[in-house]
Amino acid sequence: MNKTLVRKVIYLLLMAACLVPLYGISAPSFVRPGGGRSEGGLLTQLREEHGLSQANLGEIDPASESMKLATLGMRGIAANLLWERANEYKKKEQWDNLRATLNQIAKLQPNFISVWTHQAWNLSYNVSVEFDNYEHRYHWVKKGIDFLMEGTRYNRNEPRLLWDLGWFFGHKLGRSDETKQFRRKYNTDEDFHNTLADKIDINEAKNYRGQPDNWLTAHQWFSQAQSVVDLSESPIKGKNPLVFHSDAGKALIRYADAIEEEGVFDEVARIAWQKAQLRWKKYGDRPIPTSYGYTIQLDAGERQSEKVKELEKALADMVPGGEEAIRQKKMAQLDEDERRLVDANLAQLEIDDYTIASRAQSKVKVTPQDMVAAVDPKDRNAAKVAASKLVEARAFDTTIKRYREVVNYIYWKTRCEVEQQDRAIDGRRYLYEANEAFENIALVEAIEKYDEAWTRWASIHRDYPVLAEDVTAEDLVDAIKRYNSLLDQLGQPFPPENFPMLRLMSRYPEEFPDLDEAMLEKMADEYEASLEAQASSANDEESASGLDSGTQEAADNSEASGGADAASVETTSGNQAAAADDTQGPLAESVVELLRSADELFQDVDLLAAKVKYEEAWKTLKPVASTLDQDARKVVFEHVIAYRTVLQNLDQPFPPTDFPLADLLEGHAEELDDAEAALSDF
Amino acid sequence: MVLEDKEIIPFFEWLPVGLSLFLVTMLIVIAIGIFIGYLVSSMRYGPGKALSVTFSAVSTAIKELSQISPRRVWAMTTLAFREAIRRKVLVVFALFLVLLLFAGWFLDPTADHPGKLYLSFVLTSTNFLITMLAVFLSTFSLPNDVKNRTIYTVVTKPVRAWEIVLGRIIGFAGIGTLLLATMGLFSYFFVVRGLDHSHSSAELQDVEAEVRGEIVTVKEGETSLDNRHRHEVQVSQDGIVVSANHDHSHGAVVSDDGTISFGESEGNLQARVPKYGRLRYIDRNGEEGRGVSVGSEWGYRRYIEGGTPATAIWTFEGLKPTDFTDGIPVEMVIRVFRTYKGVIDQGIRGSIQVVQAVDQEEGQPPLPVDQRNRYKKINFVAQDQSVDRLTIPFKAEGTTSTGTNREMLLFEDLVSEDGKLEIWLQCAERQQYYGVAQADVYIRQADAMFSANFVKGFLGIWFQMIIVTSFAVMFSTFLNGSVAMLATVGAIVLGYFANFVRDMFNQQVEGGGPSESLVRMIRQQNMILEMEPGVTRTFVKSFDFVTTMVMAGICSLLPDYGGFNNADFVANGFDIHNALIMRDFIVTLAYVGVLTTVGYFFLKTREIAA
Repeated sequence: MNKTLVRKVIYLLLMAACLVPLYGISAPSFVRPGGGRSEGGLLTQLREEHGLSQANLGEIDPASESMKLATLGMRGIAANLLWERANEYKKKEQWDNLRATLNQIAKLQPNFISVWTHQAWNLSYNVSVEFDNYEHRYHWVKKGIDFLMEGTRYNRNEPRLLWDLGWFFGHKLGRSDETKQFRRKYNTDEDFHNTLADKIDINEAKNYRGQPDNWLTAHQWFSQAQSVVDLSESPIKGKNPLVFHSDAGKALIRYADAIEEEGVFDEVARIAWQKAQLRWKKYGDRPIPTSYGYTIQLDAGERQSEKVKELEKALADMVPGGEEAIRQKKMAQLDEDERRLVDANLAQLEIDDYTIASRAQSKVKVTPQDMVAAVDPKDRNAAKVAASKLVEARAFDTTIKRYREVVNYIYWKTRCEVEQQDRAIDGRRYLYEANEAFENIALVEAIEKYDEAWTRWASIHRDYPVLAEDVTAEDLVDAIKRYNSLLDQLGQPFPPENFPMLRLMSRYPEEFPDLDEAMLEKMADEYEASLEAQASSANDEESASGLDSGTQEAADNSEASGGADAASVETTSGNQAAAADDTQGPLAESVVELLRSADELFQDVDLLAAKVKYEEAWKTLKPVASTLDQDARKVVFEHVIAYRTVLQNLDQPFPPTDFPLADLLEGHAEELDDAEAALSDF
Repeated sequence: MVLEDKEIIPFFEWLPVGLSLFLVTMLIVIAIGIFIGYLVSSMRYGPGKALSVTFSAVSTAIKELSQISPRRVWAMTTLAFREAIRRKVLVVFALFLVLLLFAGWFLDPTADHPGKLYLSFVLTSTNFLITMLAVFLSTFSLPNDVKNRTIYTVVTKPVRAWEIVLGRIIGFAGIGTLLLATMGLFSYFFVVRGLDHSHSSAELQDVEAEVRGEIVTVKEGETSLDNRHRHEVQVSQDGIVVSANHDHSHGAVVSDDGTISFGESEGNLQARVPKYGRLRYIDRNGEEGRGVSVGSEWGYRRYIEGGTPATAIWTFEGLKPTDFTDGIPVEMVIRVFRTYKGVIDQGIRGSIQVVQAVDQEEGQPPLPVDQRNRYKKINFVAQDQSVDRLTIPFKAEGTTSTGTNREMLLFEDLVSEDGKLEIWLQCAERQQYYGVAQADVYIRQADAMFSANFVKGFLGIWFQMIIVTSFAVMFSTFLNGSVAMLATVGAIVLGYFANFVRDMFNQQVEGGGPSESLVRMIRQQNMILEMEPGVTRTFVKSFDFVTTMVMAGICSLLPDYGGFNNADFVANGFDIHNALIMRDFIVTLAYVGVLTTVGYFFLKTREIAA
């Protein structure tokens, strides 16, 4: 027979033989015609076992599959090249091409989670800020979110993508510089809501006005991420479970916080805080796996501490003479130096003494083992059991404490509770109104509102010191600084006598560099001492309710006579307070004052300050501009010309956009010209 | 659009420079060619006879060149044509159709500039497919003929080597042209149909708006969501305005019952004819500067500081009143860089001023603005990354160089006799910056026809295909099929990366030449650190010096393929300048001529050898 033919036949047979083990390895699973199911080959079984088949991971996309096939096994190289190109596009600001390239990468490697997370971040955080217009920024934040949502289609059991979505919705929309604009845009972005509708329960994400809120949307995503972890038991890769599970509750807290920042108080705010509290409690009750191998519940901290105390007592009861006896025995064994330093405060010691003291302290420390050894031999077994229980309970206790600190558990728990109280809601409202008044240059009103807010916040901080140490407190410090500038403008001293926020100020001395730190501390002490003195002089019942009713009264009074008060301060002090409402004809004293000081600044060539003063005057003048008589207008126009010169010197256009007196100028253009002519004659 | 390294020089300015460079290169190449030819023949026949052999080869070549018969070339062309059809080149076309069919899967419908994506896609894929086709088709033909000895049936006929080479080139280029034309046609309809859409309805509400200083009630709202976007709509007494979004707008008509019907999308596919100016900067002290870098990796744009005398100045030339009807339309893209956030929902303000161009003598500082005629400043808010439009009116309020304010006439008072005019850009806000590059501000002279521009875009691909075919045929005259293919692909790759190779030779590339990179890769060294002195370093460096020199030498003979790619112009909606097309055409012609000659000599030597 022909030799080549023989060889070919042998090759063919060998190839066919190879197919048999190949089939064994990679046969697909199928349902047998008569019922029952074939498990498929080894690879299929392994894939099934580890949930790695495409159908397990997420949607199967023909575009993605065909692209994978078309690269002929060089998927990695292709993805690499595309990645390089994406970087190049980003560098050269070709955003559309960047987005298109990312699509291709994602289609090539749809189950490579880092691609989704990294590039979505790129779009939402890095590309968006390249745009100057916040609407465009919002648009690109959304593109990043879209990209992530696309990722969840291919990877439905991947908690990280869902968590990231929560983070983007929450933090990118809710905690960036453009938060106000972003939140407003998201509220009304119906097309976007429609695309979200089949992914989350959009009705659950609606705020009190019936519009979806970014924080409530974030809460939905975080909750979804949690349920994926709970249901599929997929590990949370690259995230600590403690932090991972905290964000759903945090989102609700942020929501409550955000609506209050936007001026929504009363029941709406209270309900929001209530919901947040429930959610945070749920988080506290959730078993959290620790790195020590056991799980803990954050909310069980107090119970655990209680338990430790009980166990300590039980063990101590077994020891004749109690724990103290053992300690004394140990003390007796210390040398002289050690005995001298054993009770010293380590933080205050020099290095040599420190070493001795810490050695001494560890020597006299009574361990459960010491106690077991001191127990009567016949009770020793029982003592051993009690000791091991104690050791275990203590470990739990410390872990809970440490974990609580990581997520600031107690702070948020307290905050949710306190924020529902009347004084907190009122405190926030007054602060909000004061800030508004400040913006509108209603100085006296602002001071009054601030005063109202301070009494409430001080009382909260006294009862819940933990709240004086975090973000809210920093906001308050900003408000105090504003209050400071208000008092400055009115020529009043700061801090005023018996200022309720002294304690808080003393915690942030760096924010008040003009004030002496020790003096602040002293004033705070004095103020608190005076409060205590007041409290003890009143009877118990009154002292309990005194503060609240007192402030309430003050608040009522100020509300009733607020307008009149403001007016009287104005006329008596003749200061810069805005006096828009009742000025007719001539210029209000306050405006004249502002203009005068602006003129002075202008003459001192402090142009920027002069510009600010002039603008303050225009703002104050705006509501009454139309009622001014001709003489007043003349004065105003002369100053407008001065203002124009200031702007010209600053290389800024005149009139600026939103010039408050634009209407006035337009209506009396000829008078402006006259004024100009008069000035140039002069 | 970004014009990074594509400076467009007028054709007749380029031609003498290009031509002389070409002639010099040719002289050198011819000299080297003759010398090598002489060397080879002297090995065969001895130095004395080689002289006459070389001389006769050259004189035969010239003689045969003059005897080329179009009829025989045509015969060879049809032969190549038939061969191409026989080798099923139409498969490439089928492949292209499949690509188009599934393109929708990969093109992002939510893109902000969908036209750009669609156009880039069709141009790039066509380019790739056609180049591949040219390589595969042209490299195997001659070697196969030689291998199957079918070449004898041709060379035994009175056909000259010139005609064989030319016939192949024309034949293969012809089939490529046919395919390219068909692909172009399909692409055109694909793009036009893909972008075409309308909106079915609009939801409007009554709102108060200011129209010419009066508060009136108008209807405002948005169109329905189609193709994943909406447009804002405003209906007032003046008619209906549909805002532009995704690079296009729609015509709209309000019927009697108040419903609005929208027309097809307009403005998606454009071919703007820009007139670029020359950009220079004045720095914050009012002196000539080069703009500020704000630290971005891409140094394309330089920035001017706000609230200072820093200015970006474009000088436009050759402006004629007859070119414009009502004013000069200017378009600009101005990037904004903020050093502090400022007011988030307000843009950064600045001003544009139209200023008389005054030529200064070399070395003299430029004349300050208050010594020139100028229009009043136009204040505006920069749009950042989108196109701002403005029209310079033929007459407007202005100030003369002597400081008098009066109404000024653009072409009388501002534009100089030789048609020069300047546009001054300043940023008004302190510590905020405007970023600009030369191509960011241009005069939009007119709009060319998009379809014509599309054809021009394909012309670029056509030129490339012709050159690749010529290279392939040239290589196939003396190499076997697969080697010829490798050589052609090599010539393409080298051509694309010519700049990189040149930089490598000039040691401006981090990580060094080929062998140095290899050593670094194996030793896992980073690219920045200098290699340690020693034998390896000396060896590697000198090896790389020789190789990169050879590579750079070859590169300087190869065409810059990237330069033929005008897809960016088409995709960004800019007319491809005719000068570019003319230049590319001349370059192509030169390459075809040279490569045919080289091919002729190689074929001739084989003939002689046979």
